[in-house]
Amino acid sequence: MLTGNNDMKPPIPKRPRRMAMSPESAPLASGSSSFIPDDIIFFQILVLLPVKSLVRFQTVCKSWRTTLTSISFVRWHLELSKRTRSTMVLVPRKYQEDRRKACSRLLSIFSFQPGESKCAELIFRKEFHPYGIPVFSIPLHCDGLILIPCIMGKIFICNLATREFVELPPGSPSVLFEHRVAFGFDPWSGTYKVARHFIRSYRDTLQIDGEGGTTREYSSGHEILTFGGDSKEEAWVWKATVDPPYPIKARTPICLPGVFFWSALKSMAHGKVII
Amino acid sequence: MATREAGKKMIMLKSPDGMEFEVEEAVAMESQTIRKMIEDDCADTAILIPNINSKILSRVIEYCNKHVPTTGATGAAASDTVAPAALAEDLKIWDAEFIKVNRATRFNLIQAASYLNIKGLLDLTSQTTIDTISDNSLEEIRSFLSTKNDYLPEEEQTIRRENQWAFQ
Repeated sequence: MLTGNNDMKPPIPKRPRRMAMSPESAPLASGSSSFIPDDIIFFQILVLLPVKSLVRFQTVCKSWRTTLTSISFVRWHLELSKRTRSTMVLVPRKYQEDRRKACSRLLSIFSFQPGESKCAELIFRKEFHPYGIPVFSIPLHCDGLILIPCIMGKIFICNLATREFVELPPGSPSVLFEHRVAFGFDPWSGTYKVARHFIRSYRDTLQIDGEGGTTREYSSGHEILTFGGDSKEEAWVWKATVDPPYPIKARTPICLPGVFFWSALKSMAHGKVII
Repeated sequence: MATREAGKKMIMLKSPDGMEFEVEEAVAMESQTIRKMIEDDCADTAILIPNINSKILSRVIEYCNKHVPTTGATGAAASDTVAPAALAEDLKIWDAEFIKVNRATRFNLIQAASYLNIKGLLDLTSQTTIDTISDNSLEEIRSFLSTKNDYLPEEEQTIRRENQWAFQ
């Protein structure tokens, strides 16, 4: 059997497909059978195609669709694309001089291939009325997926390769608009994780020193949504984690594989959440 | 195992239709499958290559002969005088000629390259197949790979509608 020279090659539990003999192959078929196993067709040949062709090929037949949309195929395709093509994704934000405008209403995504072209190409544009992308959060990117946190707590994910655009299920309500979102791939579980920080409630207390100042105390929560893994039940559901010790700053978290770094509001220490 | 002049180790490969091919060990070891057999000392007598007929096997050997790293005594004379880049270019042209075969032969070569685990040949045959199918209609793809469309018309329409951009 094929062992491949690449450790990343995922196993494919498909049965071999027997290829029908075409008339021209008949004369040389003595003592030989002309079939190509499914894992060669998909994981060696079709995986070289661009996503657009693969999306079309879903309609070849049902079993093709199952394999082409399977996690192992998608990850292998992503792995090969990363090695052969390098594409930058640009999500420009408009600077709002008017401070009352807390969000931008238009999302434009450009792709740029260094060395191959001199200008970026617009690949996706979407109007965000009535939500808007708040100025304090930046769309996050992982493996060609763009996560867009919107004002009012809505979160969208855009898959640039397939043009799919989905809204995540609503998380726990936040009393303030400023919910924070982190997004990344977790290599240990092989899933994508969206982490969200929200404010459950807050209380203002008058300071005792008589200056009339108030201090605000927050009760904040943290939850995680998982998708892209084998388990269907666990996917697309927000699950609460331990509450963070401090509320989180209006700053885009640093998302590394397996770890998010949050900046806390009260402490100099950086929050860390292991997903 | 046979030996021939200049102390080169020779390996005997046998196709299911009874043909025998004597090849240099280095050439045979372009196939990771055969390399493993040799390393595990399973190659004392002729190695039977199942499922690959003599016509295809001879083409595979032709490919391996061309692609075996040319070093020292086994090397072609050209390698001493030609720059590596030119050699690679030469190999590319040779590959392009080599793969000008009909579809059935190419499928047989893919199957052989997959069984024998010859990365270069598998990549070459796969890439050539991709070049021929990427622009084809779905109907051509189905007949090309002998697949039947088992969608109901409305099911197919739904997928098309959901992914309109890809069908334009």
